[in-house]
Amino acid sequence: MMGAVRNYFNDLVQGFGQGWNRFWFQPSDPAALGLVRLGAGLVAFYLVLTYTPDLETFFGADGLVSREMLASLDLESNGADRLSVAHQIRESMPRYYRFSYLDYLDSPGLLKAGHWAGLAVLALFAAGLFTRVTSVLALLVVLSYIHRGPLLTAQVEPVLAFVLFYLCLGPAGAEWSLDRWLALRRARTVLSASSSGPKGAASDPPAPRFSSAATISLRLIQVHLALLYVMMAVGKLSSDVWWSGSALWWLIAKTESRLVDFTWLHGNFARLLVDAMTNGVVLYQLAFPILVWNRLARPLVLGLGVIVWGLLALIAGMVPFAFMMLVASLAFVPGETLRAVLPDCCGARRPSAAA
Amino acid sequence: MTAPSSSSQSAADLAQPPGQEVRTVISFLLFLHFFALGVAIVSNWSPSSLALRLRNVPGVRHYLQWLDQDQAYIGLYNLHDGLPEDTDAAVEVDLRLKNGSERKFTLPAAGLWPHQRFRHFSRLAEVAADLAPNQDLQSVVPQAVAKHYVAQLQAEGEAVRDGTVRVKHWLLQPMEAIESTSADQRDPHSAIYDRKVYEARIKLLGGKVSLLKVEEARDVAPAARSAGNQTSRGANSKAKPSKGE
Repeated sequence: MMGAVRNYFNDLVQGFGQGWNRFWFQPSDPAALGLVRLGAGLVAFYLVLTYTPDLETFFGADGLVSREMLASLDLESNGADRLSVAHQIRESMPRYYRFSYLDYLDSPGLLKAGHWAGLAVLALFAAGLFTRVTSVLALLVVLSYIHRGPLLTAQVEPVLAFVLFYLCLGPAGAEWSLDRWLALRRARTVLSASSSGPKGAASDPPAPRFSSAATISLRLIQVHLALLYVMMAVGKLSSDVWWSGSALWWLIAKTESRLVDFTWLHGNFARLLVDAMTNGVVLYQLAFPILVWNRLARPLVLGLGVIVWGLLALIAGMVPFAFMMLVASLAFVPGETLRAVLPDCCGARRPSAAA
Repeated sequence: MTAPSSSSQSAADLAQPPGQEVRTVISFLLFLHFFALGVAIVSNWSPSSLALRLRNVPGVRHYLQWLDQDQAYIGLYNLHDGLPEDTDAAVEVDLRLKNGSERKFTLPAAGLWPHQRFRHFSRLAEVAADLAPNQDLQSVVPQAVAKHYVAQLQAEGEAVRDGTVRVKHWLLQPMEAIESTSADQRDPHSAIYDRKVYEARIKLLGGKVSLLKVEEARDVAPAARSAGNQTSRGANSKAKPSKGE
Protein backbone atom coordinates (compact mmCIF):
# COMPACT_ATOMS: atom_id res chain seq x y z
CA MET A 1 0.00 0.00 0.00
CA MET A 2 2.72 2.44 1.07
CA GLY A 3 4.71 1.43 -1.95
CA ALA A 4 1.80 2.28 -4.24
CA VAL A 5 1.40 5.66 -2.60
CA ARG A 6 5.12 6.31 -2.90
CA ASN A 7 5.06 5.31 -6.55
CA TYR A 8 2.09 7.56 -7.19
CA PHE A 9 3.84 10.58 -5.70
CA ASN A 10 7.05 9.71 -7.51
CA ASP A 11 5.16 9.60 -10.79
CA LEU A 12 3.36 12.81 -9.92
CA VAL A 13 6.55 14.69 -9.16
CA GLN A 14 8.31 13.23 -12.16
CA GLY A 15 5.39 14.00 -14.45
CA PHE A 16 5.15 17.55 -13.18
CA GLY A 17 8.88 18.06 -13.57
CA GLN A 18 8.86 16.71 -17.12
CA GLY A 19 5.84 18.83 -18.01
CA TRP A 20 7.46 21.91 -16.51
CA ASN A 21 10.69 21.31 -18.39
CA ARG A 22 8.84 20.67 -21.65
CA PHE A 23 6.71 23.79 -21.22
CA TRP A 24 9.51 26.19 -20.35
CA PHE A 25 12.71 24.70 -21.72
CA GLN A 26 12.04 22.60 -24.82
CA PRO A 27 13.94 24.44 -27.57
CA SER A 28 11.63 26.11 -30.04
CA ASP A 29 11.56 28.11 -33.22
CA PRO A 30 12.26 31.84 -32.67
CA ALA A 31 10.18 32.92 -35.68
CA ALA A 32 7.19 34.09 -33.63
CA LEU A 33 9.52 35.97 -31.31
CA GLY A 34 10.97 37.86 -34.26
CA LEU A 35 7.53 38.86 -35.45
CA VAL A 36 6.46 39.96 -31.96
CA ARG A 37 9.63 42.05 -31.83
CA LEU A 38 8.79 43.69 -35.13
CA GLY A 39 5.23 44.49 -34.01
CA ALA A 40 6.15 45.65 -30.52
CA GLY A 41 9.02 47.71 -31.92
CA LEU A 42 6.68 49.47 -34.33
CA VAL A 43 4.16 50.19 -31.57
CA ALA A 44 6.89 51.50 -29.27
CA PHE A 45 8.32 53.66 -32.04
CA TYR A 46 4.89 55.05 -32.88
CA LEU A 47 4.00 55.79 -29.25
CA VAL A 48 7.23 57.64 -28.60
CA LEU A 49 7.05 59.38 -31.97
CA THR A 50 3.67 60.86 -31.07
CA TYR A 51 5.36 62.76 -28.23
CA THR A 52 7.57 64.62 -30.71
CA PRO A 53 5.38 67.72 -31.33
CA ASP A 54 4.53 68.02 -27.63
CA LEU A 55 7.84 67.19 -26.00
CA GLU A 56 8.28 70.61 -24.41
CA THR A 57 4.56 70.95 -23.75
CA PHE A 58 4.60 67.84 -21.57
CA PHE A 59 8.11 67.50 -20.22
CA GLY A 60 9.56 71.02 -20.38
CA ALA A 61 10.29 73.16 -17.33
CA ASP A 62 6.76 74.62 -17.42
CA GLY A 63 5.32 71.50 -18.98
CA LEU A 64 1.94 69.98 -18.31
CA VAL A 65 3.60 67.02 -16.61
CA SER A 66 6.40 68.82 -14.83
CA ARG A 67 8.49 67.00 -12.28
CA GLU A 68 7.12 69.28 -9.58
CA MET A 69 3.60 68.24 -10.49
CA LEU A 70 4.48 64.56 -10.35
CA ALA A 71 6.18 65.08 -7.00
CA SER A 72 3.03 66.64 -5.59
CA LEU A 73 1.07 63.62 -6.77
CA ASP A 74 3.47 61.27 -5.05
CA LEU A 75 1.06 59.76 -2.58
CA GLU A 76 3.74 57.94 -0.71
CA SER A 77 5.39 61.16 0.33
CA ASN A 78 1.97 62.58 1.15
CA GLY A 79 1.42 59.70 3.52
CA ALA A 80 -1.72 58.54 1.72
CA ASP A 81 -2.66 54.92 1.39
CA ARG A 82 -1.76 54.33 -2.21
CA LEU A 83 -4.15 51.51 -2.91
CA SER A 84 -7.16 53.01 -1.22
CA VAL A 85 -6.72 56.10 -3.36
CA ALA A 86 -6.09 53.89 -6.38
CA HIS A 87 -9.45 52.25 -5.92
CA GLN A 88 -11.07 55.61 -5.37
CA ILE A 89 -9.83 57.12 -8.57
CA ARG A 90 -9.37 53.86 -10.44
CA GLU A 91 -6.85 53.64 -13.20
CA SER A 92 -5.91 57.27 -13.09
CA MET A 93 -3.97 56.62 -9.93
CA PRO A 94 -0.71 58.47 -10.29
CA ARG A 95 2.16 56.13 -9.79
CA TYR A 96 5.24 56.65 -7.76
CA TYR A 97 7.82 58.68 -9.46
CA ARG A 98 10.28 56.32 -11.03
CA PHE A 99 13.50 56.36 -12.97
CA SER A 100 13.49 57.92 -16.40
CA TYR A 101 16.45 59.13 -18.40
CA LEU A 102 14.31 62.08 -19.43
CA ASP A 103 14.69 63.39 -15.87
CA TYR A 104 18.27 64.25 -16.58
CA LEU A 105 17.56 66.22 -19.76
CA ASP A 106 16.88 69.68 -18.43
CA SER A 107 17.28 71.93 -21.45
CA PRO A 108 14.98 71.83 -24.50
CA GLY A 109 17.95 70.91 -26.69
CA LEU A 110 18.95 67.97 -24.53
CA LEU A 111 15.35 66.83 -24.30
CA LYS A 112 15.07 66.79 -28.07
CA ALA A 113 18.41 65.03 -28.46
CA GLY A 114 17.39 62.38 -25.93
CA HIS A 115 14.05 61.97 -27.64
CA TRP A 116 15.55 61.42 -31.08
CA ALA A 117 18.16 59.09 -29.64
CA GLY A 118 15.35 57.08 -28.05
CA LEU A 119 13.52 56.97 -31.37
CA ALA A 120 16.68 55.79 -33.09
CA VAL A 121 17.02 52.95 -30.57
CA LEU A 122 13.41 51.93 -31.11
CA ALA A 123 13.83 52.02 -34.90
CA LEU A 124 16.91 49.80 -34.66
CA PHE A 125 15.07 47.44 -32.35
CA ALA A 126 12.03 47.23 -34.64
CA ALA A 127 14.33 46.56 -37.59
CA GLY A 128 16.17 43.95 -35.57
CA LEU A 129 19.65 45.43 -35.71
CA PHE A 130 22.02 44.64 -32.80
CA THR A 131 18.91 43.22 -31.19
CA ARG A 132 20.57 41.85 -28.07
CA VAL A 133 21.58 45.39 -27.11
CA THR A 134 18.74 47.38 -28.63
CA SER A 135 16.07 45.17 -27.00
CA VAL A 136 17.32 46.19 -23.56
CA LEU A 137 17.73 49.83 -24.61
CA ALA A 138 14.26 49.85 -26.17
CA LEU A 139 12.78 48.66 -22.89
CA LEU A 140 14.64 51.44 -21.05
CA VAL A 141 13.42 54.04 -23.54
CA VAL A 142 9.78 52.98 -23.31
CA LEU A 143 9.88 52.71 -19.51
CA SER A 144 11.48 56.15 -19.36
CA TYR A 145 8.51 57.69 -21.17
CA ILE A 146 6.05 55.71 -19.07
CA HIS A 147 7.71 56.78 -15.84
CA ARG A 148 8.21 60.37 -16.94
CA GLY A 149 4.62 60.85 -18.06
CA PRO A 150 2.53 58.33 -16.09
CA LEU A 151 -0.53 60.56 -16.39
CA LEU A 152 -0.38 60.29 -20.16
CA THR A 153 -0.41 56.52 -20.32
CA ALA A 154 -3.33 54.15 -20.67
CA GLN A 155 -3.93 50.50 -21.52
CA VAL A 156 -1.25 49.95 -24.12
CA GLU A 157 1.82 50.86 -22.09
CA PRO A 158 1.71 48.04 -19.51
CA VAL A 159 1.25 45.48 -22.32
CA LEU A 160 4.08 46.97 -24.32
CA ALA A 161 6.31 47.03 -21.23
CA PHE A 162 5.91 43.37 -20.41
CA VAL A 163 6.29 42.26 -24.02
CA LEU A 164 9.50 44.30 -24.40
CA PHE A 165 10.81 42.89 -21.14
CA TYR A 166 10.26 39.31 -22.30
CA LEU A 167 11.76 40.07 -25.69
CA CYS A 168 14.99 41.01 -23.92
CA LEU A 169 15.24 37.46 -22.61
CA GLY A 170 15.05 35.60 -25.91
CA PRO A 171 16.63 35.75 -29.37
CA ALA A 172 14.22 38.41 -30.61
CA GLY A 173 16.48 39.28 -33.51
CA ALA A 174 16.94 35.74 -34.76
CA GLU A 175 14.23 36.13 -37.40
CA TRP A 176 12.57 38.87 -39.48
CA SER A 177 15.49 41.13 -38.64
CA LEU A 178 18.47 42.92 -40.06
CA ASP A 179 20.63 40.84 -37.75
CA ARG A 180 19.39 37.75 -39.56
CA TRP A 181 19.87 39.34 -42.95
CA LEU A 182 23.43 40.35 -42.08
CA ALA A 183 24.19 36.91 -40.70
CA LEU A 184 22.96 35.31 -43.90
CA ARG A 185 24.97 37.70 -46.01
CA ARG A 186 28.10 36.99 -43.99
CA ALA A 187 27.48 33.26 -44.23
CA ARG A 188 26.98 33.44 -47.99
CA THR A 189 30.15 35.45 -48.38
CA VAL A 190 32.14 32.98 -46.33
CA LEU A 191 30.67 30.00 -48.14
CA SER A 192 31.23 31.56 -51.54
CA ALA A 193 34.79 32.40 -50.71
CA SER A 194 35.51 28.99 -49.28
CA SER A 195 37.04 26.82 -51.94
CA SER A 196 36.71 23.75 -49.73
CA GLY A 197 32.97 24.18 -49.26
CA PRO A 198 30.62 21.76 -50.99
CA LYS A 199 29.14 22.81 -54.28
CA GLY A 200 25.98 24.81 -53.88
CA ALA A 201 26.60 25.51 -50.21
CA ALA A 202 26.54 29.26 -50.87
CA SER A 203 22.85 29.06 -51.53
CA ASP A 204 22.16 27.22 -48.30
CA PRO A 205 23.36 29.35 -45.37
CA PRO A 206 22.58 28.25 -41.83
CA ALA A 207 19.09 28.83 -40.47
CA PRO A 208 18.44 30.24 -36.99
CA ARG A 209 18.73 27.72 -34.21
CA PHE A 210 15.95 26.49 -32.01
CA SER A 211 16.54 27.65 -28.48
CA SER A 212 15.26 27.36 -24.95
CA ALA A 213 15.61 31.13 -24.57
CA ALA A 214 13.04 31.55 -27.35
CA THR A 215 10.75 29.14 -25.54
CA ILE A 216 11.07 30.96 -22.21
CA SER A 217 10.47 34.32 -23.85
CA LEU A 218 7.44 33.14 -25.81
CA ARG A 219 5.99 31.24 -22.87
CA LEU A 220 6.29 34.31 -20.64
CA ILE A 221 4.41 36.40 -23.20
CA GLN A 222 1.77 33.67 -23.56
CA VAL A 223 1.19 33.20 -19.83
CA HIS A 224 1.18 36.93 -19.10
CA LEU A 225 -1.20 37.58 -21.96
CA ALA A 226 -3.56 34.87 -20.74
CA LEU A 227 -3.48 36.40 -17.26
CA LEU A 228 -4.26 39.79 -18.73
CA TYR A 229 -7.27 38.36 -20.53
CA VAL A 230 -8.45 36.87 -17.24
CA MET A 231 -8.18 40.31 -15.65
CA MET A 232 -10.04 41.91 -18.53
CA ALA A 233 -12.84 39.38 -18.35
CA VAL A 234 -13.13 39.57 -14.57
CA GLY A 235 -13.10 43.36 -14.73
CA LYS A 236 -15.99 43.30 -17.16
CA LEU A 237 -17.90 40.73 -15.15
CA SER A 238 -17.63 42.98 -12.12
CA SER A 239 -19.37 45.78 -13.97
CA ASP A 240 -23.13 46.08 -14.52
CA VAL A 241 -22.84 47.70 -17.95
CA TRP A 242 -21.08 44.65 -19.35
CA TRP A 243 -23.75 42.33 -17.90
CA SER A 244 -26.58 44.50 -19.23
CA GLY A 245 -25.03 44.63 -22.69
CA SER A 246 -24.85 48.40 -22.84
CA ALA A 247 -21.10 48.81 -22.33
CA LEU A 248 -20.26 49.02 -26.02
CA TRP A 249 -22.87 51.71 -26.48
CA TRP A 250 -21.18 53.81 -23.80
CA LEU A 251 -17.89 53.39 -25.62
CA ILE A 252 -19.62 54.38 -28.86
CA ALA A 253 -21.07 57.44 -27.10
CA LYS A 254 -17.64 58.78 -26.17
CA THR A 255 -17.59 61.46 -28.80
CA GLU A 256 -14.09 62.67 -28.12
CA SER A 257 -12.12 59.45 -28.06
CA ARG A 258 -13.84 57.24 -30.62
CA LEU A 259 -12.33 56.84 -34.07
CA VAL A 260 -15.50 56.01 -35.97
CA ASP A 261 -18.99 57.21 -35.16
CA PHE A 262 -21.20 54.17 -34.58
CA THR A 263 -24.15 56.10 -33.15
CA TRP A 264 -26.20 54.98 -36.15
CA LEU A 265 -26.47 51.77 -34.12
CA HIS A 266 -29.60 52.87 -32.30
CA GLY A 267 -33.15 51.61 -32.28
CA ASN A 268 -34.53 48.26 -31.25
CA PHE A 269 -32.61 46.04 -33.63
CA ALA A 270 -29.38 47.96 -33.11
CA ARG A 271 -29.81 47.66 -29.36
CA LEU A 272 -29.88 43.90 -29.74
CA LEU A 273 -26.81 44.07 -31.93
CA VAL A 274 -24.92 46.24 -29.42
CA ASP A 275 -25.95 43.89 -26.62
CA ALA A 276 -24.74 40.92 -28.62
CA MET A 277 -21.43 42.60 -29.43
CA THR A 278 -20.93 43.56 -25.79
CA ASN A 279 -21.57 40.00 -24.65
CA GLY A 280 -19.39 38.74 -27.48
CA VAL A 281 -16.44 40.79 -26.25
CA VAL A 282 -16.84 39.43 -22.71
CA LEU A 283 -17.23 35.87 -23.97
CA TYR A 284 -14.16 36.22 -26.13
CA GLN A 285 -12.07 37.53 -23.26
CA LEU A 286 -13.32 34.75 -21.02
CA ALA A 287 -12.63 32.10 -23.63
CA PHE A 288 -9.20 33.28 -24.76
CA PRO A 289 -7.15 32.23 -21.71
CA ILE A 290 -8.69 28.74 -21.86
CA LEU A 291 -9.11 27.92 -25.53
CA VAL A 292 -5.88 29.45 -26.78
CA TRP A 293 -3.96 26.56 -25.22
CA ASN A 294 -5.92 24.08 -27.31
CA ARG A 295 -4.23 23.32 -30.62
CA LEU A 296 -7.49 23.02 -32.55
CA ALA A 297 -9.23 26.03 -31.02
CA ARG A 298 -6.19 28.30 -31.21
CA PRO A 299 -6.53 29.45 -34.84
CA LEU A 300 -10.18 30.28 -34.24
CA VAL A 301 -9.44 32.20 -31.03
CA LEU A 302 -6.61 34.15 -32.64
CA GLY A 303 -8.69 34.87 -35.76
CA LEU A 304 -11.62 36.11 -33.71
CA GLY A 305 -9.17 38.37 -31.89
CA VAL A 306 -8.63 40.34 -35.08
CA ILE A 307 -12.37 41.04 -35.27
CA VAL A 308 -12.81 41.82 -31.56
CA TRP A 309 -9.78 44.08 -31.28
CA GLY A 310 -10.47 45.70 -34.63
CA LEU A 311 -13.95 46.57 -33.45
CA LEU A 312 -12.73 47.91 -30.09
CA ALA A 313 -10.02 49.94 -31.81
CA LEU A 314 -12.56 51.69 -34.02
CA ILE A 315 -15.14 52.18 -31.29
CA ALA A 316 -12.89 53.23 -28.45
CA GLY A 317 -10.10 54.78 -30.49
CA MET A 318 -7.44 52.69 -28.79
CA VAL A 319 -5.64 51.50 -31.91
CA PRO A 320 -2.15 50.97 -30.44
CA PHE A 321 -3.62 48.94 -27.57
CA ALA A 322 -5.67 46.76 -29.89
CA PHE A 323 -2.71 46.30 -32.22
CA MET A 324 -0.44 45.46 -29.30
CA MET A 325 -2.86 42.79 -28.06
CA LEU A 326 -2.78 41.21 -31.51
CA VAL A 327 1.00 41.45 -31.65
CA ALA A 328 1.32 39.73 -28.28
CA SER A 329 -1.08 37.03 -29.50
CA LEU A 330 1.43 36.16 -32.23
CA ALA A 331 3.41 34.43 -29.50
CA PHE A 332 0.86 31.62 -29.80
CA VAL A 333 1.41 31.11 -33.53
CA PRO A 334 3.78 28.25 -34.37
CA GLY A 335 6.92 29.25 -36.23
CA GLU A 336 6.21 26.84 -39.07
CA THR A 337 2.85 28.55 -39.71
CA LEU A 338 4.47 31.95 -39.82
CA ARG A 339 7.10 30.74 -42.26
CA ALA A 340 4.43 29.25 -44.47
CA VAL A 341 2.13 32.27 -44.42
CA LEU A 342 4.48 35.22 -44.47
CA PRO A 343 6.70 36.24 -47.37
CA ASP A 344 10.24 34.92 -47.36
CA CYS A 345 12.14 37.70 -45.68
CA CYS A 346 15.74 37.57 -44.54
CA GLY A 347 15.75 33.83 -45.20
CA ALA A 348 13.04 33.31 -42.64
CA ARG A 349 11.13 30.74 -44.67
CA ARG A 350 14.07 28.40 -44.81
CA PRO A 351 13.37 25.37 -42.62
CA SER A 352 15.06 25.65 -39.28
CA ALA A 353 18.19 23.73 -38.58
CA ALA A 354 20.34 23.71 -35.54
CA ALA A 355 23.53 25.63 -35.89
CA MET B 1 3.50 27.43 -29.32
CA THR B 2 3.32 23.90 -30.57
CA ALA B 3 5.75 21.12 -31.23
CA PRO B 4 8.04 21.80 -34.16
CA SER B 5 6.99 20.46 -37.55
CA SER B 6 8.46 17.25 -38.90
CA SER B 7 10.56 19.21 -41.39
CA SER B 8 12.30 20.99 -38.57
CA GLN B 9 12.04 18.21 -36.01
CA SER B 10 15.67 17.36 -36.42
CA ALA B 11 16.60 20.93 -35.63
CA ALA B 12 14.59 20.83 -32.44
CA ASP B 13 16.12 17.52 -31.51
CA LEU B 14 19.63 18.80 -32.02
CA ALA B 15 19.12 21.91 -29.91
CA GLN B 16 19.51 20.98 -26.29
CA PRO B 17 17.71 22.47 -23.29
CA PRO B 18 19.90 24.00 -20.58
CA GLY B 19 21.41 21.85 -17.86
CA GLN B 20 19.64 21.00 -14.63
CA GLU B 21 21.35 23.71 -12.56
CA VAL B 22 20.46 26.42 -15.07
CA ARG B 23 16.87 25.16 -15.27
CA THR B 24 16.59 25.27 -11.49
CA VAL B 25 17.81 28.86 -11.32
CA ILE B 26 15.51 29.95 -14.15
CA SER B 27 12.57 28.14 -12.55
CA PHE B 28 13.22 29.97 -9.30
CA LEU B 29 13.33 33.32 -11.12
CA LEU B 30 10.11 32.44 -12.93
CA PHE B 31 8.53 31.68 -9.57
CA LEU B 32 9.62 35.07 -8.19
CA HIS B 33 8.36 36.85 -11.30
CA PHE B 34 4.95 35.22 -11.24
CA PHE B 35 4.70 35.66 -7.50
CA ALA B 36 5.10 39.44 -7.92
CA LEU B 37 2.69 39.45 -10.83
CA GLY B 38 0.20 37.36 -8.86
CA VAL B 39 0.37 39.81 -5.97
CA ALA B 40 -0.34 42.70 -8.37
CA ILE B 41 -3.33 40.85 -9.77
CA VAL B 42 -4.77 39.51 -6.53
CA SER B 43 -4.58 42.91 -4.86
CA ASN B 44 -7.05 44.26 -7.43
CA TRP B 45 -10.09 42.71 -5.75
CA SER B 46 -10.85 44.25 -2.36
CA PRO B 47 -7.32 43.41 -1.28
CA SER B 48 -6.74 41.74 2.04
CA SER B 49 -4.20 43.25 4.39
CA LEU B 50 -1.89 40.40 3.41
CA ALA B 51 -2.18 41.27 -0.28
CA LEU B 52 -1.53 44.92 0.51
CA ARG B 53 1.51 44.07 2.56
CA LEU B 54 2.83 41.73 -0.09
CA ARG B 55 2.34 44.37 -2.75
CA ASN B 56 4.29 46.83 -0.66
CA VAL B 57 7.20 44.51 0.04
CA PRO B 58 10.14 46.58 -1.23
CA GLY B 59 11.40 44.11 -3.82
CA VAL B 60 7.96 43.26 -5.14
CA ARG B 61 6.78 46.86 -5.24
CA HIS B 62 9.83 48.18 -7.02
CA TYR B 63 9.85 45.31 -9.51
CA LEU B 64 6.20 45.85 -10.39
CA GLN B 65 6.60 49.60 -10.60
CA TRP B 66 9.70 49.40 -12.73
CA LEU B 67 7.93 47.13 -15.19
CA ASP B 68 4.77 49.27 -15.08
CA GLN B 69 2.80 46.26 -13.89
CA ASP B 70 1.51 47.81 -10.65
CA GLN B 71 -1.77 48.56 -12.31
CA ALA B 72 -5.34 48.75 -11.14
CA TYR B 73 -5.98 46.10 -13.79
CA ILE B 74 -9.73 45.88 -13.41
CA GLY B 75 -10.30 49.59 -13.73
CA LEU B 76 -7.81 49.91 -16.54
CA TYR B 77 -8.93 47.04 -18.72
CA ASN B 78 -12.67 46.80 -18.29
CA LEU B 79 -12.79 49.87 -20.60
CA HIS B 80 -16.10 51.09 -19.25
CA ASP B 81 -17.72 50.81 -15.86
CA GLY B 82 -20.77 53.01 -16.26
CA LEU B 83 -19.28 55.65 -13.98
CA PRO B 84 -18.79 59.38 -14.65
CA GLU B 85 -15.05 58.72 -14.59
CA ASP B 86 -15.46 56.65 -17.74
CA THR B 87 -16.50 59.61 -19.83
CA ASP B 88 -14.28 61.87 -21.83
CA ALA B 89 -12.99 64.88 -19.94
CA ALA B 90 -11.59 68.30 -20.71
CA VAL B 91 -9.63 71.02 -18.97
CA GLU B 92 -10.49 74.56 -20.06
CA VAL B 93 -8.33 77.55 -19.27
CA ASP B 94 -9.60 81.10 -19.86
CA LEU B 95 -6.91 83.72 -19.35
CA ARG B 96 -7.50 87.49 -19.23
CA LEU B 97 -4.62 89.57 -20.43
CA LYS B 98 -3.68 92.97 -19.10
CA ASN B 99 -4.62 94.54 -22.45
CA GLY B 100 -8.19 93.40 -21.82
CA SER B 101 -8.29 90.58 -24.34
CA GLU B 102 -8.96 86.95 -23.49
CA ARG B 103 -7.27 83.73 -24.54
CA LYS B 104 -8.95 80.34 -24.25
CA PHE B 105 -7.26 76.95 -24.20
CA THR B 106 -8.84 73.53 -24.14
CA LEU B 107 -7.11 70.32 -23.29
CA PRO B 108 -7.31 68.17 -25.34
CA ALA B 109 -7.48 70.59 -28.24
CA ALA B 110 -9.60 69.58 -31.21
CA GLY B 111 -7.95 68.28 -34.36
CA LEU B 112 -4.83 66.78 -32.85
CA TRP B 113 -3.25 64.26 -35.17
CA PRO B 114 -2.43 61.42 -34.94
CA HIS B 115 -5.13 60.16 -32.61
CA GLN B 116 -2.57 58.90 -30.09
CA ARG B 117 -1.43 62.49 -29.62
CA PHE B 118 -5.00 63.42 -28.77
CA ARG B 119 -5.11 60.54 -26.32
CA HIS B 120 -2.09 61.82 -24.39
CA PHE B 121 -3.86 65.11 -23.70
CA SER B 122 -7.15 63.32 -23.18
CA ARG B 123 -5.62 61.08 -20.52
CA LEU B 124 -4.28 64.10 -18.66
CA ALA B 125 -7.73 65.68 -18.70
CA GLU B 126 -9.26 62.41 -17.48
CA VAL B 127 -6.82 62.31 -14.59
CA ALA B 128 -7.71 65.90 -13.70
CA ALA B 129 -11.41 65.00 -13.71
CA ASP B 130 -10.90 61.77 -11.75
CA LEU B 131 -8.90 63.60 -9.09
CA ALA B 132 -11.59 66.27 -8.70
CA PRO B 133 -13.34 64.54 -5.77
CA ASN B 134 -10.02 64.23 -3.91
CA GLN B 135 -9.59 67.38 -1.82
CA ASP B 136 -5.85 66.86 -1.48
CA LEU B 137 -5.07 66.33 -5.12
CA GLN B 138 -7.83 68.03 -7.10
CA SER B 139 -5.84 71.18 -7.84
CA VAL B 140 -2.59 69.53 -8.88
CA VAL B 141 -3.32 68.96 -12.57
CA PRO B 142 -5.36 72.18 -13.11
CA GLN B 143 -2.55 74.15 -11.52
CA ALA B 144 0.04 72.58 -13.81
CA VAL B 145 -2.17 73.25 -16.83
CA ALA B 146 -2.78 76.86 -15.81
CA LYS B 147 0.89 77.38 -15.11
CA HIS B 148 1.81 75.97 -18.51
CA TYR B 149 -0.50 78.26 -20.46
CA VAL B 150 0.42 81.34 -18.42
CA ALA B 151 4.09 80.62 -19.13
CA GLN B 152 3.30 80.11 -22.79
CA LEU B 153 1.59 83.50 -23.05
CA GLN B 154 4.36 85.18 -21.12
CA ALA B 155 6.89 83.69 -23.51
CA GLU B 156 4.88 85.26 -26.32
CA GLY B 157 5.25 88.63 -24.56
CA GLU B 158 1.71 88.78 -23.23
CA ALA B 159 0.99 89.94 -19.68
CA VAL B 160 -1.61 87.76 -17.97
CA ARG B 161 -3.89 89.33 -15.39
CA ASP B 162 -5.96 86.40 -14.15
CA GLY B 163 -8.20 83.65 -15.41
CA THR B 164 -10.25 80.59 -14.75
CA VAL B 165 -9.53 76.90 -15.04
CA ARG B 166 -12.33 74.33 -15.33
CA VAL B 167 -12.32 70.56 -15.39
CA LYS B 168 -15.32 68.80 -16.80
CA HIS B 169 -16.70 65.49 -17.89
CA TRP B 170 -18.65 65.02 -21.10
CA LEU B 171 -21.57 62.94 -19.96
CA LEU B 172 -22.46 60.17 -22.37
CA GLN B 173 -25.49 60.31 -24.54
CA PRO B 174 -27.97 57.47 -23.86
CA MET B 175 -29.05 55.47 -26.92
CA GLU B 176 -32.66 56.65 -26.65
CA ALA B 177 -31.52 60.30 -26.68
CA ILE B 178 -30.45 59.90 -30.32
CA GLU B 179 -34.10 59.84 -31.31
CA SER B 180 -35.27 62.39 -28.75
CA THR B 181 -37.50 65.26 -29.78
CA SER B 182 -35.24 67.59 -27.84
CA ALA B 183 -32.47 69.05 -29.96
CA ASP B 184 -30.29 69.40 -26.87
CA GLN B 185 -30.59 65.72 -26.08
CA ARG B 186 -29.85 64.72 -29.66
CA ASP B 187 -26.69 66.79 -29.77
CA PRO B 188 -23.90 64.97 -27.87
CA HIS B 189 -22.01 68.25 -27.56
CA SER B 190 -24.93 70.06 -26.01
CA ALA B 191 -24.44 71.82 -22.67
CA ILE B 192 -26.68 69.29 -20.95
CA TYR B 193 -23.93 66.70 -21.38
CA ASP B 194 -21.31 68.96 -19.87
CA ARG B 195 -20.63 68.42 -16.16
CA LYS B 196 -18.16 70.68 -14.43
CA VAL B 197 -16.29 68.90 -11.65
CA TYR B 198 -13.73 71.50 -10.68
CA GLU B 199 -13.32 75.20 -11.19
CA ALA B 200 -10.77 77.65 -9.84
CA ARG B 201 -9.76 81.23 -10.36
CA ILE B 202 -6.21 81.66 -11.59
CA LYS B 203 -4.27 84.32 -9.72
CA LEU B 204 -0.77 85.50 -10.35
CA LEU B 205 0.79 86.32 -7.02
CA GLY B 206 4.39 87.50 -7.16
CA GLY B 207 4.77 85.95 -10.59
CA LYS B 208 3.55 82.58 -9.34
CA VAL B 209 0.38 80.92 -10.51
CA SER B 210 -2.00 79.96 -7.75
CA LEU B 211 -5.55 78.69 -7.80
CA LEU B 212 -8.55 79.79 -5.76
CA LYS B 213 -11.09 77.03 -5.92
CA VAL B 214 -14.60 78.11 -6.82
CA GLU B 215 -17.11 76.37 -4.59
CA GLU B 216 -20.49 75.91 -6.15
CA ALA B 217 -23.26 77.74 -4.35
CA ARG B 218 -25.22 74.48 -4.35
CA ASP B 219 -22.49 72.84 -2.29
CA VAL B 220 -22.58 75.62 0.27
CA ALA B 221 -26.32 76.16 0.37
CA PRO B 222 -28.26 73.06 -0.64
CA ALA B 223 -31.51 75.04 -0.96
CA ALA B 224 -30.09 76.75 -4.05
CA ARG B 225 -29.74 73.43 -5.92
CA SER B 226 -31.80 73.28 -9.08
CA ALA B 227 -33.44 69.92 -9.45
CA GLY B 228 -32.70 67.87 -12.51
CA ASN B 229 -29.96 70.16 -13.75
CA GLN B 230 -27.16 67.91 -14.93
CA THR B 231 -24.75 70.72 -15.46
CA SER B 232 -23.37 73.27 -13.12
CA ARG B 233 -23.28 76.02 -15.67
CA GLY B 234 -24.63 79.32 -14.50
CA ALA B 235 -24.62 78.33 -10.86
CA ASN B 236 -23.72 81.04 -8.41
CA SER B 237 -20.24 80.60 -7.15
CA LYS B 238 -17.75 81.96 -4.72
CA ALA B 239 -14.01 81.58 -4.51
CA LYS B 240 -12.19 79.75 -1.78
CA PRO B 241 -8.46 78.98 -1.60
CA SER B 242 -7.84 75.41 -2.66
CA LYS B 243 -5.62 73.03 -0.78
CA GLY B 244 -2.06 72.58 -1.69
CA GLU B 245 -1.32 76.09 -2.79
